[in-house]
Amino acid sequence: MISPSAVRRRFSPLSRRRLLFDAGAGFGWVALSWLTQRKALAGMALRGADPTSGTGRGPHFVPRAKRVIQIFAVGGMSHVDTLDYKPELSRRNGTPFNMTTFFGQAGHLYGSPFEFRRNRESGLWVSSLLPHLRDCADKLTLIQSMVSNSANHMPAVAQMNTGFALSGFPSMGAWMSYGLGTENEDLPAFVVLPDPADHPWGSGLQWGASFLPASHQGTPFRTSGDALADLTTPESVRPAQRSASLEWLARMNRVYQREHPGDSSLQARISSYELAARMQLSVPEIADIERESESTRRLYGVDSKETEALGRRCLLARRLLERGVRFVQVYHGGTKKTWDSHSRLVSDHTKMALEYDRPVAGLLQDLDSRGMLEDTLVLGVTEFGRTPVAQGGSLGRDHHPECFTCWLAGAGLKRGFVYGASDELGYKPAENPVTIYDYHATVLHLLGIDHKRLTYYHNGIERRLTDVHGRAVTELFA
Amino acid sequence: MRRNRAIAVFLSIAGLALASQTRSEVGSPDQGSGAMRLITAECLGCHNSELATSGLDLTQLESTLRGGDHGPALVPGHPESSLLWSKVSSGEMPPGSPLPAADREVFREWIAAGAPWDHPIGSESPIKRSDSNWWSFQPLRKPQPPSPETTPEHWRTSPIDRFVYARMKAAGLDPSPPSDRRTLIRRTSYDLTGLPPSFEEVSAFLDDSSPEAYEKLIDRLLASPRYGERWGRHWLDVVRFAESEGFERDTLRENAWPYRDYVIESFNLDKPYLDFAREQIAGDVLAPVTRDGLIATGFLVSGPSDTVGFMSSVPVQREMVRQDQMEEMIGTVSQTFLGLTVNCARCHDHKYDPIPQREYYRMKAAFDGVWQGERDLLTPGEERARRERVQPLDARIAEIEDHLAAIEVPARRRLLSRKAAPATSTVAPSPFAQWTFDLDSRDSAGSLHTEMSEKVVRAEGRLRAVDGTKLTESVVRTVPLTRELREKTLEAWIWMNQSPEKQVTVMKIHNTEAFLGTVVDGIMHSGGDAREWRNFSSSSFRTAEGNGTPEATGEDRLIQVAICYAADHSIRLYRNGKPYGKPYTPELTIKEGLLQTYLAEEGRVAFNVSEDLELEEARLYDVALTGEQVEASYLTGFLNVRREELDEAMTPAESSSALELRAELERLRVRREAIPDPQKIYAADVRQPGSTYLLERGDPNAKQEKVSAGGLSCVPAASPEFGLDADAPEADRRIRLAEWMANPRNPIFARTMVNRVWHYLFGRGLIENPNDLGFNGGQPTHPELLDWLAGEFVRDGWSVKRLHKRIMMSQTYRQSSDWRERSVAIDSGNRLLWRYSPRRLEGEAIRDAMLVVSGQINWEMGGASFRPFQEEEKFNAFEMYTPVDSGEPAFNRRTVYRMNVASAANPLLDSFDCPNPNVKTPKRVVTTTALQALSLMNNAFVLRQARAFADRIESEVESDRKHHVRRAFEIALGRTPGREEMAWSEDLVGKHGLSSLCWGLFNTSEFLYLN
Repeated sequence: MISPSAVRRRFSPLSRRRLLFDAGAGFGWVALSWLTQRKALAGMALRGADPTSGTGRGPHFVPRAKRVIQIFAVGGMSHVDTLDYKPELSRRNGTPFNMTTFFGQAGHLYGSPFEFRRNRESGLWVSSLLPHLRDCADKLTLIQSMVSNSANHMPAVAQMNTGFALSGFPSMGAWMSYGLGTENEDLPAFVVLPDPADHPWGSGLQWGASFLPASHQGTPFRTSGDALADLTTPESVRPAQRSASLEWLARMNRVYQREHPGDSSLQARISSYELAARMQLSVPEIADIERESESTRRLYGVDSKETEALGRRCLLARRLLERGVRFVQVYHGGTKKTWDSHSRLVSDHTKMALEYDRPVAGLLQDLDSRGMLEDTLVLGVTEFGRTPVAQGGSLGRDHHPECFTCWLAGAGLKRGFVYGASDELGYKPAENPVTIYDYHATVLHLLGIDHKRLTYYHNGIERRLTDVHGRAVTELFA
Repeated sequence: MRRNRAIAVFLSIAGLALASQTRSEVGSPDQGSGAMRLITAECLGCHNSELATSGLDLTQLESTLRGGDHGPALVPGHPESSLLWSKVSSGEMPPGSPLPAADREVFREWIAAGAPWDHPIGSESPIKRSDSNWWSFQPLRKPQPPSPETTPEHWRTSPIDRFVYARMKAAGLDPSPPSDRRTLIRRTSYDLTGLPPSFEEVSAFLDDSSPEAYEKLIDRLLASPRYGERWGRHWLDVVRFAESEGFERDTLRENAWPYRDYVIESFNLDKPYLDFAREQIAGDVLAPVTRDGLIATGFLVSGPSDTVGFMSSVPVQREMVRQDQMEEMIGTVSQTFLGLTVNCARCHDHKYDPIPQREYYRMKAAFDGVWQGERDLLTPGEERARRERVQPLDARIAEIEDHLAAIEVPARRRLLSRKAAPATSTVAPSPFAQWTFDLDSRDSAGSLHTEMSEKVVRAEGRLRAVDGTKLTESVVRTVPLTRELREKTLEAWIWMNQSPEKQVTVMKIHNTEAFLGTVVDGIMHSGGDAREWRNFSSSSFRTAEGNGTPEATGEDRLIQVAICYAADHSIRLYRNGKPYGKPYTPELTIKEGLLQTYLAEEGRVAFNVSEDLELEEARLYDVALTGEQVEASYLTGFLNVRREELDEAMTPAESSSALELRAELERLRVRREAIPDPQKIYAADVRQPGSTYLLERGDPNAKQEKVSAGGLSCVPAASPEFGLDADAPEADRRIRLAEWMANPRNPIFARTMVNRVWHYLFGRGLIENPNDLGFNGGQPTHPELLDWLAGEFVRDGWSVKRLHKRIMMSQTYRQSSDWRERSVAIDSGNRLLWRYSPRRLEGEAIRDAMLVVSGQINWEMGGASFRPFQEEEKFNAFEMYTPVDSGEPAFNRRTVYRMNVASAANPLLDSFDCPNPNVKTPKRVVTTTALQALSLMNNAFVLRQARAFADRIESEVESDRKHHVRRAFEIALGRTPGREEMAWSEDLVGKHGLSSLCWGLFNTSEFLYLN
C-alpha cells in the first residue's frame, strides 16, 4: 500500500478515531477506560496503514446502537410456528391452497402444530417452541413482513449477510467494521461464532470481506480449545525463547523503520506484534466463560446438554461486546443440524428451538440487567421462513422467502412492537413489506450510518451493502 | 510563495490532457455551467472530498470558501483576491496543461459573477458519465516523448523517463537517485519471479561491474520459469480462477488446473498478448484449434457456479441463476480485456459509460452457448483420430456381446431353473432385468446394461467400490428403460462387510437425475444407529421409518432385500425371504406420494456400493412379487454363475461359439483398454444457444426484441457490427467477438494490459483501477506515457516480456525508494513517480520466500494442485474444508500450485490478503493486522520453515555461531549483518538456538517488504 499523505496521516485518522473514542466515553459502558489511551496510539498506527475510509467523517446520524449481536437460525426458522400467529391457517388446516414452492410439491395448508400464547406485558404472540423468549417478548421488536429474493439456502444466507444472493460480496459485519472500526484495537471488530456442530451453507464466504480490506473480515472464534487460529504459541517454543526472539525482532524492526521513514505500515507492523501479544493474553481470558458466575451461566443454559453449546456462544458474544467488539455473529445450526424442516416439522423444530430458546432469552435478560440493551442491538434472523402449506403430503414445510419474521431487540427500538404484517395465512406480506435491503439500511441507521453513504469503490461501482435499494424502517425506532 | 507552490503541485496531479480547445465545452449541456465542468474535469482528481489534497476540497461551495491548508480558495465576486483565479490565470493550474485563454475567461467571469454554485459537483458531479469523447475510447495517439534537452542526462535514454520527468518537473519534483544494487536485484527478483534472490546471485550482481549487468539481470529473470509462475498468479487474480464451485456445495473442480498451467506457460513463452486474449475467448473454435486453445477457455467458466440453483424445480429460478452466471462471465471478459464494466448494463443502460443495455445483450449473445463443465482435451483432429480408432472397436465389442448374450441368456435361464431346486411349489417369475456381476455387469435378462465407472469394479462376482472412493462417486447406473414401469419389485443380494455409518441406497430406480424433485425408489440402509432397511423415496414420501428390525452389526453376511411396489400403492419389504416390517401404504393424498411410474427413455436403475456394502446380484421385476415369490427367489438363491456351469448348460455348438466369441471379446477389450481415456479439462462446455433477448430490467420474464452478437459501439475503429444473425452458429459469435476485442485497432484493449503490467511493477497503475478505464476509473496520471507504451506494445507484437524490459530498464523504475519530506509534501501518494513506492510482499511471495530460504521448496511445476485442506463431504454433497498443515514435499510447492477453493480457509495466506478465488481481484488490498502477527508468530508452517532454515545453515556452515548468524542473514536478507545486529543475534542464538534467529528473520519488516 502506498503510504497515505503525511498530512492525512497526521490529522485525519486520529481525529476520526478520537471522535469515536470521545463519543464512546460518553456512554460510559466500558469498564476498560484504561485502554483508551493505549488504543488511541496503537489504533491510530494500525488504522493509518489501512485504507479505511468508511463513513469518512464519523457517524452520519446520532448512533442509537454501539454494537450488534446477531443470532442466525440457519436453515429457515418457520415464522408461522414461532413468532407469527396465524389462527386462520389452523382453521383451514388440510385444505388445498395453490402456490409454487421450491421443491415443487405444494401440499395442503398446514396449521401450526404448536400452541401460541401472548406475552403478558407486550401482548406479542409466541409459540410453545420458544417459552423463554416469550417471557422476554416485552423486549422484542418484530418485523412480520420480511421478504427475501432466493428460496435456495446458500444464496438466501448470502443475501441476509451481504445484501446479494450472489457469491462474493462483503458481509454486513465487514461493512460495519469498515464503517465504524472497532472500539478495542486489541480485538477484531467483527467476530463470528459458528456452531461447532455444523457450518452454514457457504461457511467462510458468509463472513468474508470480499473486496473490502481483509482486516474487516469476520474472525471466527471457537468456544473450545484455542479461541483463535494461531493464537497460542506452540509448546515447542519456550516462553523465554519467544520473548527473547520478540525482543530481537523489535530491535530489528525499529532500526528498519528508522532507516525507512515515512512508511506508516512499518510502525503499524511493530504495533501489530504488541497487539498480537496482548491478544494472546486477553483472548483466552475473554473466551474463558468459566469466569462468569454460576447463575449467569445457568441463565444462558450452559448447565444443560441441549442448551450448552449455544449458551456458551451467546455468553462469549456478550463478553466480546463488553470488550469493544463491534459485531458478533452467532450461528445456530447449519446444513445438517438445521432449522430446515421439510418433512418433520414438529421433531426438527422442537429440537432446534430447545437449543435456541433459553440461551437467546438468557442473553436478552443478561444484557438488559447490565444496562447493555440500551445501546446494544440484538438481531434474530434466519434466511427465509417456511411455507404455510405442507411439503407434499408430509408434515413439514418448504422454503418460503416471500414472507417471514425477524426479531430485533435493544438499542433505540420500540419494545414489544410489531412492524408489518403477513396475510392471514403467513403467505405474503399484507402490509409494509421489508426487503433485506430495507433491513440492512435499518440496522446501519441504528448504528448512525446512512446506508447510501457507506460505499466502497470496486470494479467500476461504488458498492453498498444495500446495492441500489433500501429504506431505513424508522417506524421501528423509539 | 511556498504556499502557492504547494497548491500548484497538488493540483497538477489531477492534470488532464484533453485535446479540445475549450475544455469547458466538453460534455453535454445538462452538465452545469462552464466553470462547474472545468472544476470537475481539471481539479477534482486531487481536490475531492476523499483526497482533499492540501486540505482543499472543491466539491462544495462551503469547502471551497473555507479553502485548504493555504487559506480560502475563492472570494466570490473578486477574481483578483481568489487563489483559484491567480493559479489558473498564471497558467500554473492545472499544472503541465494550462487552460486555454477562453477557459480561463470562463473562470474569471464565473468568480466575478459571484461564483454561482449552480450545479452540485463532487459526488453529484455535473459530468456524471463518460461519452464517446472519454479519453480511453480515443484511438491511441503517438505522443512524442518530451525533448531530451529538457531532461537531465541520465534520464534521457528511455522515453518513459522523459514523460515521467516532464510531469515531475511541472509539479516541482525531482527524481530520486538510482537504488543501490542490492535493493535493485531484490526488487527485480520479486517483481519478475516473486522470489528473493539467493545470496550468491546478489554477490554476483554486485561484482559485475559491466555496464550491461542490470540488463543481463533482467534478461535472466525474464527467462526463468519462475517468471511465469509469478505473473501467472497475477493473471489468476484478475480472472478469478477458482478450483471449486463456490456457492452452496463448493464441490472441487478436479480438472481446472490445466488452465493455471496454460497461463503460466503462456507467460513463460511470451505468447503474444493478442493471441493469449483470443484463445481465452474462443480458443476452442479459432482455427487451428490447439490443446492450448481448448484449455484457455477455462477463463470463461472459472467463476462461481450455483449448481443447486440450477436444479431448482422452479424454471424462472433456474433462468435467473443462468442470467446471473452470464453477468459474471461478461463482467469478467469486459473488465479483464477492456477495462470496462459491461456487466453494469444488464438491467439498464450503463450509468457511467456509453454502453447501452442492448450492447450488454449483444455481448451476451456471443457467450450464450458457453456453460461450465468438463470436456475431453482433444483437438478436433485428435478427436477424429481417436474416434476412428475407438468407434469400430466399440461397435465390434457391442456386436460380439450381443452374439454372446444370445447364447448365454437362454443358457442362464436353463441353469437357473435347474439350480432352483424348488423349496416351495412357487417359482419366482423371470426378472425384467438381472445383474449377476459375475462375468460382466450386463443385464443378463434384458438390455438394461450397466455403464461402469472407474470408481467401481467387479471382483469375486460382486460389484465393489474402489478403495478410498467417496460414496457419491461409487455409483453406476444403467442405460435408460426401454419401456415404462409402474408396478415393480427391486431385489438385491447384498454383502454387508460392516454396518454403514451413513445411509446408502444400494439399488434404486429413478427418473431424470436432478437434485430436487427427482422421482426415485430404492433399497436403502439407514446407516447410523437405526441400521434399518427402508424404501428410499422422493422427499421420503414413500419411506417408512422405524418399521423394520435393526440389522445386526456383525460382519461379512449376505442378505437378500426385496421391496415390492404394488398397484394398490402398498409397499412391502422382505429380508431373506421373510416379510421385513409391516406392509404400508403412504398416507398421502398427493400423487407424488403414490406408486410412481418410471418412464421409457428416462428411468434408469443405479447401484451404489461402498466398502461396507457390496452387491452380489440385483434383479428388477415388472410386477410386485408376492411374499411366496420373494421367498422362492430367496430359497433359490442368487445366481452365482460360474463359467463352467454356464458352458454345461449350452449345447456343444453353443459352447464352442461362446468360447470363440469370448476370446475375440477379450482381444478386443485389451485393444480397447490400450487406448487411454482422454484427459479431462474444466473448460467451456459449448452448446448452440437459443435466441438471445434483451430483458427489460434484466428480468427473464420480460423478454424484448431478439439480439444478435456484437461488440461495443464506444470502442472505436473496430466495428461492433458482426453481421451475424440472431441464430448464428455459436462458434462464429465468439470468434467474431475475440477478433473485434483483441485487435490492434482497439486502443482500450492495449491500454488495459499495459496499465496492468505497470500496476504490478509500481504497485499502482497509471490508471488507479486496472479493471475500470471508464468514467469511474478516472483519468490516467500520465496519459501520453500510457499511449506511448500501448503503442510500443502493439508495434512490438504484443510481447509482454519486452514490455517488462522496457519499463524496468527505465530510471523511473530503478529509483531509490527513499522518502523525502519535501516531495511528500507535494505528492504524498507518489502518483508522479518521484521514487519507487515501497510495498509489502503478497501472501504467496511471503510463503514462497520462506520455503526458498528454508531450502524446503519443491520446484515441481504444473499438474494437479496440492491440497492443504481436508475435504469432508456433508449432507447433500456439500463440501467442508478444514485446513491441513503438512511438511510433505508435495505441500512445499510454490503457492500458485495451491488448490484455489472458495471456502477453504488458510489462516496464514488469508491474513496476508490473498483474495477469495471467487472474486475478481485486479488489485490487492494490503492490510496490517494483529492476526498477521499471530500467524507469523505461531503458524505451524512458519515454525517448521524456521527449523528447517536452521538445519540448512548448520549443514552448510561450520559450527561457529558467528558464521551461522552471518549465513542466516545472507540467505534471508541477501546481506551480511551489521555489527550491532551480529551482537544481538549472537546473543539470541547463544541463549535460544539458531531457529529462534531464523524465526525472527522471517518476521522482520526487511524480509516482508520490498524497497
